[in-house]
Amino acid sequence: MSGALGRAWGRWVALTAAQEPAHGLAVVRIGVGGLIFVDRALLSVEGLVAPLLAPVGAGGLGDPLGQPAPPLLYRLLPADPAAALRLVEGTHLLSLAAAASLCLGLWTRGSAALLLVLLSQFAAALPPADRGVDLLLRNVLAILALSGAGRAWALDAWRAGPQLTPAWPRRLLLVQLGLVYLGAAAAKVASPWTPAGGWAALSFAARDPAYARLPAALVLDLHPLTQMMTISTLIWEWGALLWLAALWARATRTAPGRLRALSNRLGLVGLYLWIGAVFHLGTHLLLRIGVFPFVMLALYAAAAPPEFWARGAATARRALRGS
Amino acid sequence: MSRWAPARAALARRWPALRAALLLGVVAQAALDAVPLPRITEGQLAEASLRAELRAQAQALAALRARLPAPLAEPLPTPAPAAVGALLISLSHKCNIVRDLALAPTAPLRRALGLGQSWGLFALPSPEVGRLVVRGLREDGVWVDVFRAGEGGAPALAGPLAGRRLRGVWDEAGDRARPWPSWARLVDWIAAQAFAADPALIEVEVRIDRERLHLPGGPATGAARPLHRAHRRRPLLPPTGAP
Repeated sequence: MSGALGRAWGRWVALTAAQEPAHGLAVVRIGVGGLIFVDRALLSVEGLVAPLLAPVGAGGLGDPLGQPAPPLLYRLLPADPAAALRLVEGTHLLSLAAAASLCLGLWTRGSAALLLVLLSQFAAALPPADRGVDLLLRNVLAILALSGAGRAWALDAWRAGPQLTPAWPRRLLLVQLGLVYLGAAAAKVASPWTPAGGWAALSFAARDPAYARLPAALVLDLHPLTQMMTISTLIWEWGALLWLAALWARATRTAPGRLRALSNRLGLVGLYLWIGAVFHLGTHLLLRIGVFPFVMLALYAAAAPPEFWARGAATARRALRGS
Repeated sequence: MSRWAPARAALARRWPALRAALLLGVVAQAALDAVPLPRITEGQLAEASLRAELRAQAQALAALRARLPAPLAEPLPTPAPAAVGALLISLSHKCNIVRDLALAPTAPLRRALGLGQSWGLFALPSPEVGRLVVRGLREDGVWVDVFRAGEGGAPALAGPLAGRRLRGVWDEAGDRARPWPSWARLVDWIAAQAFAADPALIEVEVRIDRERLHLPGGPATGAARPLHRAHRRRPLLPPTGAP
């Protein structure tokens, strides 16, 4: 390979071989592990373990064994409904323990892998209850299971102390974040997302009883605002293309190029995420979409430069000692 | 020295490039998977919300044709909902064949671990919405609202039914002429919760009220149309007629 392609390949090899402090991945691990723990603990609190996770016959709403390829967990369940329910409840508790263990950074890779396997089995129990955020969490767990997220701020790192770790899992998380936005942007071709449909998408979504948080009459009164939000959402989601380019520019900041320098001088990576944080908190106030905005914000931690979190923690420690 | 040492050394030398290639493959597969190519079927296009969307797309296409010069307008499909639907089904079928082939190497792993890149985030917001309504018949013969989606209700039901997981079960029922099998089981579960929360209830009705949202200046919302209405009597009581 030669020329521009060769140089790009060389930079890609260097990017994927880079090592860095593990604090950025650790923040994602703590955020994602904690959110999964709370989300799954709510199943127990609301009495939804049996209806959502058990098979029909053992109190469940779904029929995982009726699927063309039944998940292994459900094939292994005993025929006795009470015993099957006990096993499902036990497996649910195991997923809670794995989430807590991931959050604390204890047996980090194993916890992430175990949690991924358990959540993928539960996902097949009742497919309509498996939402986009569940898919995103499984993707993130797959990356964390291969990462060094347990090498900082983790019980695993207690003895060894913080160590360097490969940077590619953190960068892969950022690609994942970009794909969520770009995939969502490309899917928005229905008429309410266009001028032909009066940019009414968010007005409809915010008045849908399944998601509505505000009174429908108020949303209707704010119609011009929801139209602006519809347009902004499209621009911002498509802006992920620019964001991924800005990430590449930041990761290869020592290479020449005026656009690269401009992107880094303007701090496009951070700017996009600040707008994103406002967007996600705004949608949380407008729509009942559960844990999704917080999972996205937890992933934002991966975008901070690797030294950022370690420096922040050191500053906080100094401030605490000083006080 | 082990006889595998030279091979290990060669692999170690090539590992950075191999890892880079592997990660490039992962990113490429994920990007291809993220391209929204729904598998559109005639059955899906028969659903009310998609029929309305097809009509809107056909109107937009007709407006575009009218503005274009003849040589550009000719290749566009006839702006009739059925023709647009047929085009979408054909395109979706062909594109998915290509994508399935490209994604085949990782398909078993993605299936086993439930991985994927399917991101909608309100891709198809529709003015046709469904509202889950739970009503209860008290011993004194009065029907009362137990839960109405978007408005709340009995604490035992409001949290779980408004939560993202159970919402997924009932919300999609509102788009369907016939609910899927889990609907009947959901009704059983809702009724059991309602009876446990309020000993005065002797019967529970669960339904989806189909409502049409209007926009400022548009025609006012008409009466809600009930769908999938189901009744459950408290166990050991004989059935009664609906209100």
